Amino acid sequence: MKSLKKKIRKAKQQITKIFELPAEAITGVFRIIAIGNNSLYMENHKGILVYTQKKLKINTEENEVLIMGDNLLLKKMGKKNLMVEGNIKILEFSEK
Amino acid sequence: MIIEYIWNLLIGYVIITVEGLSMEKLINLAALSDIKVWELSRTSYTHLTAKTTLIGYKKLKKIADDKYNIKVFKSKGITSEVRRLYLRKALFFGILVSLLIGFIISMFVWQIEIVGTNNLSKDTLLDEVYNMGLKTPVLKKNLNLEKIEDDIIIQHKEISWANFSYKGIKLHLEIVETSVPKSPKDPFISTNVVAKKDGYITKILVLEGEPSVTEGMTVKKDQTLIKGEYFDEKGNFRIYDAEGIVYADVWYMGEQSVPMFDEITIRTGRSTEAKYLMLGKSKGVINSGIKYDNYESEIESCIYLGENLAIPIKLVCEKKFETIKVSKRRDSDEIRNIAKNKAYETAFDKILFGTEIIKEKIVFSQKDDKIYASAFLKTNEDIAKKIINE
Repeated sequence: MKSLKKKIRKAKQQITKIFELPAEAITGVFRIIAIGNNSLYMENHKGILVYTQKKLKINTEENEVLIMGDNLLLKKMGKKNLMVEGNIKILEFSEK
Repeated sequence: MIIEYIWNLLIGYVIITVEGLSMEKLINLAALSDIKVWELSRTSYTHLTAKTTLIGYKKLKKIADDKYNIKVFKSKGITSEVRRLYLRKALFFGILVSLLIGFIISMFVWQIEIVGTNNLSKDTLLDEVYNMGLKTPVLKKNLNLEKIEDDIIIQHKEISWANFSYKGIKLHLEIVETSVPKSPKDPFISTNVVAKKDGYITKILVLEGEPSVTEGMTVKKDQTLIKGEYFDEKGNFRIYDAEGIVYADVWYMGEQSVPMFDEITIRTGRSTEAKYLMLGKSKGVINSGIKYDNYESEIESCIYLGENLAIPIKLVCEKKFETIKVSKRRDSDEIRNIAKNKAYETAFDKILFGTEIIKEKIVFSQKDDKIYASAFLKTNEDIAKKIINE
């Protein structure tokens, strides 16, 4: 089952490469927009794993995104997108 | 962003506090259930504050287990303010009453303001307006302002226009006074009309007073032209503020002279050479040559001995030419022309700007090697001048 999912994902990635389509719309990978180190906007997340004022761990399709900083505030929280404000110091990506 | 903020203010929102463990789970649940939550801040491990709509709060209450204690900390927005006002009936009633009082007060005129007066007294005018039925406070509805405006204009000859306008609880009366031509004359003071200049009278128009001169007469400066004090045909003594227009031919004269000879300098043909050494600005004479009383000099050559030194040294050779002054007769037409222009300008400067010159004459004469030109300009102008009799 897992291998089938992987195959589908790979096929999707190839299609996006060939047709130059936006990857986040087809494959469902996350997209991050950071404005300085004070504001961060993220699309295609899969929920929050950890949230404190200093640490925010976000689950995505393939990775886990770790944001570390001071006074982290979830400015917006939606089904697919979220917005974080605060003094962001570290942005880290790790595979599941 | 700002539109969303305004929308939230309009529909109202609540600031909630959540107490419990595993806040992440609640946040994810809210996001999945499409509950609008924003500005989430985890203040401590068991404590979270967030903003949500009233509907969102109710939904959140439903989805949250007993593990979470959700409370409204503060409600914000217009709807909540209205609700708060509704709960505070006395305040609501107070606002209504004050609005009503304000409305009733604005139905009356409480003060009258007068503008545009220069000679008229404002207080006197205000008293008159009061007497016309405008006693403050008065209901605006009962006022017939047009009638009062007409009455003011009829009663005061000095007022040419009056207009009322409301400015809140004030009644603004704007008036325009008629321009009074002159203050009344003093009946015991008389004036005479005298001549400003010498002239030959061509026209006389007496507006007030008795004329002492007639057309065709030559008058001197300060001579009385129209009298202000005189005895009439019946022998009654009359005092007048004499007034009139007296036109006269007036001659203006300007004289200028120009010398017939010009003094010019010529070289005699004799010359000498002088040499000197210049050290900076100091001059050291080597050979001064022959000394002439009057001479012109030309520098023939200049040799720099130390051009690049701090104080440059140079040898200067100067040629001196002896000169004498001789008189030369100038062209007579040219002299006459210069003298004529100068004389004309002198005479013209005496005439008042804008006065028309009706005749002009130039006379030349010669005396002591000089050409004299006299310009005579004739004008026709009003020479009347008013003076008070003492």
